[in-house]
Amino acid sequence: MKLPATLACVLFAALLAPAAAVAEPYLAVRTGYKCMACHVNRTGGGKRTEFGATYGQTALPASRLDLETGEAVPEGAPDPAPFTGKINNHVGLGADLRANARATFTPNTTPSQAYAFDPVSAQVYLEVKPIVDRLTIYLDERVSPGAATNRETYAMLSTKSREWYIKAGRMFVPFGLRIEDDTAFIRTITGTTFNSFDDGVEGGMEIGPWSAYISMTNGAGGGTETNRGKEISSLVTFVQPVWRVGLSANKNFNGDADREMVSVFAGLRTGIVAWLASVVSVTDEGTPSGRVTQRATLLEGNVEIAKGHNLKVTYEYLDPNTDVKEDQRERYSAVYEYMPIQFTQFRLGVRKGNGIPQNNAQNATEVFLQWHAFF
Amino acid sequence: MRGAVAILIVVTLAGCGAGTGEGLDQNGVPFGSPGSDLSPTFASIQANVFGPICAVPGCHGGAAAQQGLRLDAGFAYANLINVASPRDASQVRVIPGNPDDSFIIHKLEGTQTLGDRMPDGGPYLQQSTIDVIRLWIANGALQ
Repeated sequence: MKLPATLACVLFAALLAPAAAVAEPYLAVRTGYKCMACHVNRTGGGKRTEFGATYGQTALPASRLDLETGEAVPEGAPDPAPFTGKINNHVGLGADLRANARATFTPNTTPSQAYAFDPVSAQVYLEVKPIVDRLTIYLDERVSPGAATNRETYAMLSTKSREWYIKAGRMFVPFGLRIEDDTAFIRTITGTTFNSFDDGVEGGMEIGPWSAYISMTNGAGGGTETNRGKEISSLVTFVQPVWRVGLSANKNFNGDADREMVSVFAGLRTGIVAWLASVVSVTDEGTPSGRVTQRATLLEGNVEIAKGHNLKVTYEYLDPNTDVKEDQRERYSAVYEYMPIQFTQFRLGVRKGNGIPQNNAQNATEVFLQWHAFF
Repeated sequence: MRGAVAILIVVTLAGCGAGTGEGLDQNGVPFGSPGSDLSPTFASIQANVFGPICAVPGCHGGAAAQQGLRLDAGFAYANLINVASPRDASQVRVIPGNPDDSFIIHKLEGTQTLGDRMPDGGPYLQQSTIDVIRLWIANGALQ
């Protein structure tokens, strides 16, 4: 894509307005909410708002326990008061913990099976609001695995109506559909995972069904900036009760090694199924092979079998280099998510890769069981 | 509504299907092009592993390389040899002559105590590929 075209996309995105990147966008599609309804970060992910935390305790679990006694709440009884992490009107806490056990089956490899408990993944969040609903200071720290890593630290100033805001600091760059699975093709080729953050500024608006965000960051992945070029990223969404569409454009100016990314995505609710679809294109200049374009797609259906039970079925496709034939990959996933009580979700999933036959790892099958605890 | 879903599915799946791998090496790189064939030299590892697998968008390629570890040609060597991780100064990425204590080997083999196994989310390198990198480091990690 030529520079004017990229800028046109960025401008288009800015003129329209985006949907946000969230940890579980299917929930947003299912409910018709914007990302900011449930997350402090307007573009999703990280600490939940008071509303989001309450929603997660009342609407998502199959059953509820009284938080003081630990006893089951009888059918029809008044809702127990939620625990939202709110200390007072100015300070709130949050956390996510994911413990994962995984079995990997790799063809034509010895041994062909591997079983592992992955290092626990955990984040803690701190939200300080010196001026309620106007000025927020936010921290998102990954405390495990390994040494603590700061993922987001920013100050955010909102207008009184909360329709406009600006923030500065370290943040997730607004781009595309930020689903929970960091290993999805649409996340890995764009580098927009929850391990990817950058330093800079972001502005945004939330007016009616429109949301729009645009950021300028170092484009250095949170590392030391080494050039004058900056990364410009934008995200626009139009949200309706049962459907939404979004457009995202990103350019990282880096001399002879520019990167351009475009994402189009959509969500649709049909009965008990919340659909997500996304197409992503990434073009890199200055690679050893010259200009390389990658394309990835995702189609996901989330079936709400019953309250507390969700079946997520996903198909992914990746063309890692559009100039090379017969190098494409696919991935099929089925994940059953069960939330028996508040703050607790169990996820049992299988992912089957389908790649070129000479690469055994691309054709591996993975089965995992995850315990996700959060508030 | 059903029509919209059908269109969505057709558009999304258009052109799908895994490649046959014909004419490609195990990394999906055409034979004879930069990135094919692997031997325990920095040039070969750069061409076969660091360049095509690690220095990709959003990972260790370009100015936005994760943790400042840019592995593009011309950048990788200086970012690896005797360079400590910015997250833990005790973790040195490549210690010439000592693959067992080199952070990069732990990251590739999944024995790291910091962050995730690489390549992030997989597919992980085959052990035969990692063994070549081990041999390069054991031989002094020469440029």
